[in-house]
Amino acid sequence: MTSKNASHARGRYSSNLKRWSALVMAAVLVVLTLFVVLPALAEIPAVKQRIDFNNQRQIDGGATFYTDQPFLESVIAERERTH
Amino acid sequence: MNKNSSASYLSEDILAIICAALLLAVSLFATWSGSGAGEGGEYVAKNPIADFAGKPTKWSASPIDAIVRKDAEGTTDYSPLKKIIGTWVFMALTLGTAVFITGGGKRIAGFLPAFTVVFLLAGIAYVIAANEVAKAYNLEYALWALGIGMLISNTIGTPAWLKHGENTGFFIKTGLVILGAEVLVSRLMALGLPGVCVAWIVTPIVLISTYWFGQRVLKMKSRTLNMVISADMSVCGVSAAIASAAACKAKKEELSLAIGMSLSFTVVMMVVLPIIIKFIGLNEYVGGAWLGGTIDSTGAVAAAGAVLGDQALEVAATVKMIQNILIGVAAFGIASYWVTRVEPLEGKQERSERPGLSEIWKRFPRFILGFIAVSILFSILHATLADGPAFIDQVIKGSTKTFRGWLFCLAFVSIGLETRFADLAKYLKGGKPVILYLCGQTLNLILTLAMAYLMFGILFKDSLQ
Repeated sequence: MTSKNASHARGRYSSNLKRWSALVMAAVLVVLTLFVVLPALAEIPAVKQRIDFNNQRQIDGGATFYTDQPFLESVIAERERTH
Repeated sequence: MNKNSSASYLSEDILAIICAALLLAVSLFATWSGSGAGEGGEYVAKNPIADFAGKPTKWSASPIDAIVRKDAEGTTDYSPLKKIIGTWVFMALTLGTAVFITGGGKRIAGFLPAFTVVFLLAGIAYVIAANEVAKAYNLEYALWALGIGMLISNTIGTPAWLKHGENTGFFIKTGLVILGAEVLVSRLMALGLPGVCVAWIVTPIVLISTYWFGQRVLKMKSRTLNMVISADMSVCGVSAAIASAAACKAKKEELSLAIGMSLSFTVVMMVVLPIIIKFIGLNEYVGGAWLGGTIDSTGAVAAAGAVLGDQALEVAATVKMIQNILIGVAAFGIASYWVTRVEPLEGKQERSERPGLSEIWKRFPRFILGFIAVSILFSILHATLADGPAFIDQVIKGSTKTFRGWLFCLAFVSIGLETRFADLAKYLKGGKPVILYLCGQTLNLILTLAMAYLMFGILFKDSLQ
């Protein structure tokens, strides 16, 4: 019985270790993405061109609703003024 | 809120409406007290909450810049961090009060630390989404928030104590009622009839046809998944998915799946559609309207429209804006259809046994009524106050959209924390959701192009030049 319990405990410990290792590895990947991958991608000419293009026009490519879109403020104001 | 442990007489829907009303009332009052005549005597609207509420800002070189910025002279600006902390305080107070009302002091002791961790995870999702590359390619916060939550739940598993801080349904409902402030029906006519025709005629046809196709042709088992995919594909992506999922009481995994699919196809469409439009030689107005009516996400529509030109950008964004405003009607329609037609069928009743008015009232999701009421109230204020547009814009821009964004981000982290990869794989079996999306989007592309050509290429062509 005691050896069975010890075996269970070892199994649980090994499974926990695997899970935590997976989380730590994923967290390291996230940190690498944030500090290395994304800044490096931004330096690729085609990507940089797209970013600059959006910045010039005040376009937020990640907007989920029209109120999140900065360039629309002036469009709406103009439409409401002339309507 | 946790329904099992709550002995409260207040439902989750009513609590969501109360919390949202509180946040909206504070925003309205703050803007009213902060606005007035400027130096030149003209009206200047200002929302003082904007100084205390915000989210991580755009960054390129280092994620630290999203919360602590350095200007050209090297001075450190802590205002984004202060605003994030301010938002946490606002949210913890409001949502904590709701938890206290439903569960008392014992539940609030568990809620506050767990909510803080969920808020931190949502903050990390926001920081990643604020990266310039992520923004340029429409990798929205919803995707990162779901990913971060799922990373934890699929590795170490979500700890029991953290579950006190995830209240997916409550976050979504409160966020949706607040979103009602941004659904300004009074703005519709100013946006132009051709755009209204493209968005309000084609969208409902595609929504209903796609749902019908999923049920009758593909024979999808889950009506709710069928509806959420149909709505997020035909209306406006993430926000429509949230609204429709809440209206038809879809499962969390179904919402995750619909959003994941929508964002994946959006990235492809935002790159490919402008190339096709240029290739076939459509004019900017027709091309813009086509983009606005078919690409799911608001951000991607603008990015794709800008590739065609300034006119296309404006038309595309306007059509999408009109679709955004449609989500109030869509959510109400879906909730009504569900309580009158779907739920009685699922309850094994005869088709002829329609529920009575009292039964419909009992089942109808109250927060949808809150959402509609807020939309009507803000539309009236917007249309009737002397400086309504400036005042309402400040209320929205200064605080309500910040609260709405955080609430949705918190909801997505919570969904991720409750989702296992195996649960998602189960829904993808047979590929029916992907087939539904592809067929629905094909119909959307054909009908929107026809309507865009009719409106912007023939009927209103002269008035646009």
